[in-house]
Amino acid sequence: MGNRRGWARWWPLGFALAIVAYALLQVVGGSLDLRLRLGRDEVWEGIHARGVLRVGMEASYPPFEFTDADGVVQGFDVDLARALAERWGVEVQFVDLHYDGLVEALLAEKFDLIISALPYEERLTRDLSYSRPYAYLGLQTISRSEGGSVSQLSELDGRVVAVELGSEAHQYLRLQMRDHGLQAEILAERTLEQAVEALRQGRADLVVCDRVEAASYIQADDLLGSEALLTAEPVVIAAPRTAPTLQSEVDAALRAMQEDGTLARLEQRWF
Amino acid sequence: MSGSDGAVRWIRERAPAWARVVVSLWVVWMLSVPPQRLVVPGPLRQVETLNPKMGVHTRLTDEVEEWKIQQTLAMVRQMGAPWVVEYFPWAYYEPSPGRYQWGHADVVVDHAVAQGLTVLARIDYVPEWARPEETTTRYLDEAGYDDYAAFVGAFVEHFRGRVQYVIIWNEPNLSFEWGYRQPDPEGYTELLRRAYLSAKEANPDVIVLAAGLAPTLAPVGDPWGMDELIFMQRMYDAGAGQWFDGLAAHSYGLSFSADEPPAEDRLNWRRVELLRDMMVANGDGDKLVYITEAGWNDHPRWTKAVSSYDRIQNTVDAYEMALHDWEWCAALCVWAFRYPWPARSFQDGFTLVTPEFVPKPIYSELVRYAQGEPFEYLER
Repeated sequence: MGNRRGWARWWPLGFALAIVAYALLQVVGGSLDLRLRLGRDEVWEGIHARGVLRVGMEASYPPFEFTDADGVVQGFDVDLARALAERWGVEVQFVDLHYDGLVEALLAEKFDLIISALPYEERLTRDLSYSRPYAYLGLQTISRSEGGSVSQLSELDGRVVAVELGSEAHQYLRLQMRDHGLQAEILAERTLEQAVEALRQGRADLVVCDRVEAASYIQADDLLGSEALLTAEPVVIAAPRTAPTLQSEVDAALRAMQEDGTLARLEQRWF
Repeated sequence: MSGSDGAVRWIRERAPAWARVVVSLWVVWMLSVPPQRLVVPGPLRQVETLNPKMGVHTRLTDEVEEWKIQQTLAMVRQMGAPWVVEYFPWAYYEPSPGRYQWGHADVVVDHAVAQGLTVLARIDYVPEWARPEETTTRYLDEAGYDDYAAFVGAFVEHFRGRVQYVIIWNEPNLSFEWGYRQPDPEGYTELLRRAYLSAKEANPDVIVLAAGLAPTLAPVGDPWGMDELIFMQRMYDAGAGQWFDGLAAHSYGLSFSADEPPAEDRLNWRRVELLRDMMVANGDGDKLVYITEAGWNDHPRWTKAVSSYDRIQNTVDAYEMALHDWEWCAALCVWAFRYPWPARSFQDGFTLVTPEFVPKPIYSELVRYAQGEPFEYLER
C-alpha cells in the first residue's frame, strides 16, 4: 500500500521528466540542423572552385526547358539558371537527364541544382531543400471578352465548360463535380483548339486549361484569361539538403530577381 | 459481473495512480484515432476480358491505405486486365540481414490474387546494409549479389502459390539504375545468374524474367546509359540466355503512333520487336516477352507526348497488336495505372486513373475495348 502511494507521489515527476527528455531530443535533433547550417557548404564551394554551376533538367518541357533545332537548350529555366550563374560570377553547364533520375543524380552530386519546372514535393524534404517559388503553374479559365473573366470555381456552376479531352482540366472538373458539388456541363473536345473554337462559337461558356497553354489564346482581342488561377502549383528549384549556403543564395537571388523584374520579364518572354 | 466490469472496478479502486493515468491516456489516444475502414480481400474474382494479354503497372509500393490498394486492383480487374506489374523494393522488406517484413507486400499480393490478377514482381532497391555508404539505392557491387539473390529466394519462397513471376532488377542499362556507375551487361548477367539459381532453389516452378531494359540510343561509354540492343547482346555473349525463362521489356511509344516501324536509331513502341529478333538470333525464340512498362503520355507540354485522343487510339492499337500479331508476347502492361499522389508534372500524363480514383477517358475506353462495347470517344 505504501509502495502504491509512493508511485502516486512520483508519477507527476516521472511524467515531467519524460516531457523534458522529449524536448531535449528535439533540441538535439534541431542542433544537427543547426550544425549543418553553420558548417561548410561543399556544394557552394565546389561551384566557385570549378567556376561552373551545374544544373540538372530534362530538356523536353517547353517553355521551361527544351532543345532547339540546333541542339541548344532553351527556355525559362535555362535563362533563369544563366541569370543565377551571372550573379554568382560563374559559368553554367546543363545536364539533360530523364526526369525520373534527377533527384538521385542531384544527391549523387552529378550536378548542383535541379531547375526543371519542379513542383514542391513535401515527401522529399528530408533530402532536398526547395527554394521559394519562382513561378506558378495551374489551371486558368478563358472566356469571351464580353462576358468578363471568371476566376472562382463556383462561377462555373450551370455553365458549359469546354476542355481538351483527357486533359488535367478535364480530370479536375470531373473531380469537382463528383466530390465537391460543382454543377457544370463539360464539353470534352479532341483538342484545345477545338475547345476554344466551341467557346468562340457560343457552344461553350468557358474554356479551362493549363495556364501556359492559355497564354497563346488570351492574347487575342476576343478572349479573356482569368486573373487568378483555379489551381496554383508553385515551381521551385531544388538543392541538396547538405548545401545550406547554396540554398540561401538561391533564395536571395530569386528574391532580388522578383524585385528587379527579372522573373516577370522571363514570364513575358516564355509564357 | 462480467470480466470487463471487474477490470473497470479494479482500475477505479485498486490500481495505482500511474496505471490510471496510463489507461486514461490510452483511452484518449484511442478516441482520437479515426476509425479505419475494415478491408478484407473478399471472394476470388475473375477478370472478364476479350484480350487476356492486357495488363497495367500498378504503383502500390507507397500506397498506405489498404482500401486504396483494394480499389486500385478492383479497377484493374474491372478494366479487363488480368496482369499487373508491381514493384517490391528489397530495402522495404529486408530492413536488416535475414529479417523479413512482408506485411505490406502480403496485403498487395493478397488483394491482387483475390481480384483474379497475375502478379509480375519487380525486385530491386538496395537496403543500406547491403551497400557502401554514400551510394544510391540502386548501387550493388558484386560482394552484395548473394544478398540480393538470397532475398529473391526468400521472396519466391514466401509468395509460393501467389506470385509466379519475378523480374530481376530494373533497367540496368541506365547508370541511374546501376548506382551511377557505367552500365555493365556482364555484371548484370552475373547478378541474374545468382538470382535465378536462388529463385529456382526456392521454387523450381517460378518464372524468372530478365530485367526490362530502358529504351535508349545512348552509345557505349555514355555516362548516363547504354543502348539496350547493345546491352542485351552483351548479356547473351556473357551467357545470360541460361539464366532467365522470359524477358521483361519496356516499350514506350513517345510521340510516334503504334504502327510506326521499328528502327535501331529510333525509340518507338515497336522497338521491342528488335529485342525479340535478338532473342531469336540467340536461340531464345521459344521464350516469351512480358512487356512490363509501355504506353504513351498525354501531357500537353511534354515534347515526347501525344494528345489524349491519340493516346487512347495508340494504346488500343498496341493491345490489339500484342493480341493478334505478337504470339511471342505474353502480356502488355501499361505504365502506370495510378499514382498514390499527383506528380504534378508531365508524369501524370502516363496514368489511367487519378490519385482520387477519377477514371480518365482512356480508362473508360479500355474498359469498353476489353468488353467489346462501342467506344464513347474513339472513332472506330
